[in-house]
Amino acid sequence: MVTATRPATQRAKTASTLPLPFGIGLLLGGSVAIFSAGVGFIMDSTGSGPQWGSLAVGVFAIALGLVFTRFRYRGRILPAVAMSMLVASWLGLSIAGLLAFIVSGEFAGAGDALFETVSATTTTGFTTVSDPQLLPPTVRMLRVGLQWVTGLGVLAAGMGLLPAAVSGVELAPRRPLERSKRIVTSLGSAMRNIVALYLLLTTSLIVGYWIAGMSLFDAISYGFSTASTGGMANHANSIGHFDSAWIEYLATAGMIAAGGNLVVVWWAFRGAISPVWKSTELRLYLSLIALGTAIVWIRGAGLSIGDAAFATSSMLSTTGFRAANWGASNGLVHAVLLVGAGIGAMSGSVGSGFRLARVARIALEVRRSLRALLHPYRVEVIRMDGYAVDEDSLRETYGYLWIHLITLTALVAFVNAGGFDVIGTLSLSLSVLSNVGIALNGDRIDNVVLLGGWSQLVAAAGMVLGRMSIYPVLITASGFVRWLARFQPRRAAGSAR
Amino acid sequence: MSVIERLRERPRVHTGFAAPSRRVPSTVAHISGLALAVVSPGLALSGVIEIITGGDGAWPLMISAALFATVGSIAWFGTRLGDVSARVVFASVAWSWLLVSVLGALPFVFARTFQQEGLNRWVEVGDAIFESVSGYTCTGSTVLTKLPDVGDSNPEIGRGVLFYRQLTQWYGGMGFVQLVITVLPTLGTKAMGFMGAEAPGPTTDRLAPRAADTAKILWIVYAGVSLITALGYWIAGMSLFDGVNHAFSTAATGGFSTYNDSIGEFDSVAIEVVAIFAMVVGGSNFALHWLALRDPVVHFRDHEFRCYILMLIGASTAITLMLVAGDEVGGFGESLRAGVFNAVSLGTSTGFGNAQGAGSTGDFVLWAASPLVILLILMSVGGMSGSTAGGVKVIRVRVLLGLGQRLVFRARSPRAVLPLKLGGDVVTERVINHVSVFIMAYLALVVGGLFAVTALGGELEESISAVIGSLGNMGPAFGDGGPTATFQDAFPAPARLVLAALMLIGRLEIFAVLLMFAAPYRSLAAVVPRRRVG
Repeated sequence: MVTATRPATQRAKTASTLPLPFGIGLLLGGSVAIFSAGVGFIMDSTGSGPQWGSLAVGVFAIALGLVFTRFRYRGRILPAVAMSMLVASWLGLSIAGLLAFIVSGEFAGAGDALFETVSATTTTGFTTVSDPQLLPPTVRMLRVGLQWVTGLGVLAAGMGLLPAAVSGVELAPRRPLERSKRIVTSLGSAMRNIVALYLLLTTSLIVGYWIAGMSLFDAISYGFSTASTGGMANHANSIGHFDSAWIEYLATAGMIAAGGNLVVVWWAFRGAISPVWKSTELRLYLSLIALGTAIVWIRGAGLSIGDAAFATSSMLSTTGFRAANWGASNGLVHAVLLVGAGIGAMSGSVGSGFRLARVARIALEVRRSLRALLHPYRVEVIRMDGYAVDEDSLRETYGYLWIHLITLTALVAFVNAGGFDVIGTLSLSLSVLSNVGIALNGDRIDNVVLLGGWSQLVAAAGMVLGRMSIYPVLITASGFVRWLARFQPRRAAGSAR
Repeated sequence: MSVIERLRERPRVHTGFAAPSRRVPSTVAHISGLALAVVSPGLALSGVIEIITGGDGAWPLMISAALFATVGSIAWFGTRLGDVSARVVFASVAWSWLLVSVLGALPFVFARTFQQEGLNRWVEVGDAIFESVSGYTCTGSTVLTKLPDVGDSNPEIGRGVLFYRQLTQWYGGMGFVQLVITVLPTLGTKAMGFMGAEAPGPTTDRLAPRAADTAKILWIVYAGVSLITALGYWIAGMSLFDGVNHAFSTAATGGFSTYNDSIGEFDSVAIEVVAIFAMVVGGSNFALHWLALRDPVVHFRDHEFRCYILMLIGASTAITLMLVAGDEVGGFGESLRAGVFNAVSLGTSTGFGNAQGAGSTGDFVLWAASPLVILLILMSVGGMSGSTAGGVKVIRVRVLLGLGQRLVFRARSPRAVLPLKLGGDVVTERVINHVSVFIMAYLALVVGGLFAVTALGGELEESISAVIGSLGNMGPAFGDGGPTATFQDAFPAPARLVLAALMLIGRLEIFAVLLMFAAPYRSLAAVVPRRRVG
């Protein structure tokens, strides 16, 4: 066993921290593959579909995952390493998913299979399949299953499984949870509560969809897809296929809940309404949904208030379901919904995007700076949820804004989307980085994007960056190439002397 | 005691050895008055040209010149410098700009330049204001549909009016407040503050011990660049009048032309090459041009200039290759011509077009999305600080990239001390903060402006490019507001006024405009009788 002395941990850190999360990823991916195969066996009576391949991949991934999880690391975990662990677990999950997709034989090439896998394991919802109903049930379940498991992983990583990973990245708001509202006291109970909440949300959605008229298979698929803000659908017209107001309302409620901070949902569920209402981010979230719905309803071309609420929550929660087509509406509706997609969901939720907490902080900072112009000697503390926000953490938020902006610009420049106009390219890039899964193509909105080889890879990379909040991917990449070796603090101190 | 008496009683700020006077101390009125006065000779000159060329717009120009001179002189002589704290300095600059650019519409209004069959009079006035603001802020977006073609013997608009339209950009390029500083001896040490409030970019270069001398040097360099550009155009084949007019527009990176199809009207590679060089010079720091007189390679020692040139070369190459690959405009030669010209035109925030009519090779609105996206990025970045260009500025974007890099390093080594270095110089945390806040506010304005313009009836593609273009003082937009069209086709009248406001906010780099309402209010509040406690 490695002792917790500093030199020992530093020696051991790169060698042995990554197998465990990689193995966990493989285990999760393998479970999804086996579950999908099971669904395939039940639904496909001929027994000759891709379920056998999926089963084989599942068994292989689980076996491999069990081997990897034997490598335990017991030293101190530095934040940067924790971020790499996050990436490793995602890689494990994606590799298992990719194998299952390739083995199914339903995709034209490895590029399409990779795009589909990444879209699923980043809860994005873009697809290369124009009519998913033609896919075998196993593959359809695999797509939504991977999304659901990713959602679980995102929550676990954000809430406490990798607490070090969130330092500076603000996956979860620390503050409102610190005092009386803390959801957990230990890692084990955190996981338990998170899984319980996520399961509860998913189950309620499945039951709701079933009662509202979906088949059980569809209800499970859409339940998974809604709870994870993934947006993969079993039908070419997404939720619009059912043409049912109740299903739309249910999906709207589900998307709003999934895009909300799960801790807030937890406390609201426990009846602590007044402390929950103090959350700046929650108020912003609900106000934006209300405002967006109102604008889309008033200015949208022939959209009902239900359609407006659906479109707004689908974009803001970064789910990417489609019901009515808002692509034929005017510029304001497009602007509101695309900006909503860029902002994204609440922090600590399954949703992705820039996150409302960061938007709130930046708005408060701009207000403070403007006030400082008038009162140069004024000292003002930015408060959120009634607590002062730490200045270092504020600076990290601005830093994240820059990295997000730079990434978005690079995506816009490099996603050479054939068949899209300028707005289409902008919306596609925004949607890729926020993991929404809807692109505005002329006067249509679409989940299906058929990109060329190079652009497909760029889009896939964009989805990964967006899902991981960029930092972990960059840090992992930089760790690999040892590019940062000369910026080690030790050497900086030496040269200063 | 009346308010005027109270104003006179206020403590005097000693900014020189001027004798005590009974003038009302008001920095805002003093600077704005002088700014109006320095613009009036330009108006008078335009009037003279109109008289010589036999146009019918002479009296509107002359009356406007007289009005500018009278109002400016009254405001100047009737007041003296008062409070010169930073916020009042910013407010003075912003008010000068608002007054000059809005009152600058008077000649257009008097001459009925925007008169059209069935057009509401108020919309006509709004269009005149839009054109004037677009000119003074060096944006170059136009709503003028009556521009002549080359060789038009009977143009609808007089040459004097066209000359004034071009001159607005020249005044705005280096900034008329900077021009005011050169003639105002009493500012003393505060002059640098005024220059900083007007000059683009986060920092201001000092070229001489006295700020007034720095301002003089910059204006001399600017005039020199304009003169050389005019000669270049003349040699390349323009008439002298066209050459001077387009030189005003090029050196100021404005983008107005006296012809319908802008530079494309001439269909001359030589003229386009001159324009490209002049635009690159106009979009780079003018202090460097002065220093280059002693050190010819000083430009390439400057980190920002290197980034700027790399950006332009990279974007030109990328666009050319995309045009060739997509077979958008013909062969390699045509692609190179269209790609380089438009990349430089938008990368320097000029906004000239080289399209010979709608649908020709240079009409970029017809290109595929990929080169347009590069143009949109160029429009957001803009030129160098200390230049006449708009946009976020290369230096700010470079600081941003450096910050992004630093954040990744910091996540790996949380306690590392990582100063941000650009070309060997450390960027101070104060500048970094300033840049951060600026870009946040810029982003907020883009989103807010986008909502406002689309709510007033703009389409998304036109609106997003026009909002970014107006804030960055570029000129053309995409879609119906492209280089061969006008904003009259693309946006409803109220949306055009929002865009004009964005141009002004963008030219003054946001904060000055925000302070212009707060600072005078606070000055007034200081003299309005108050109830004393106790």
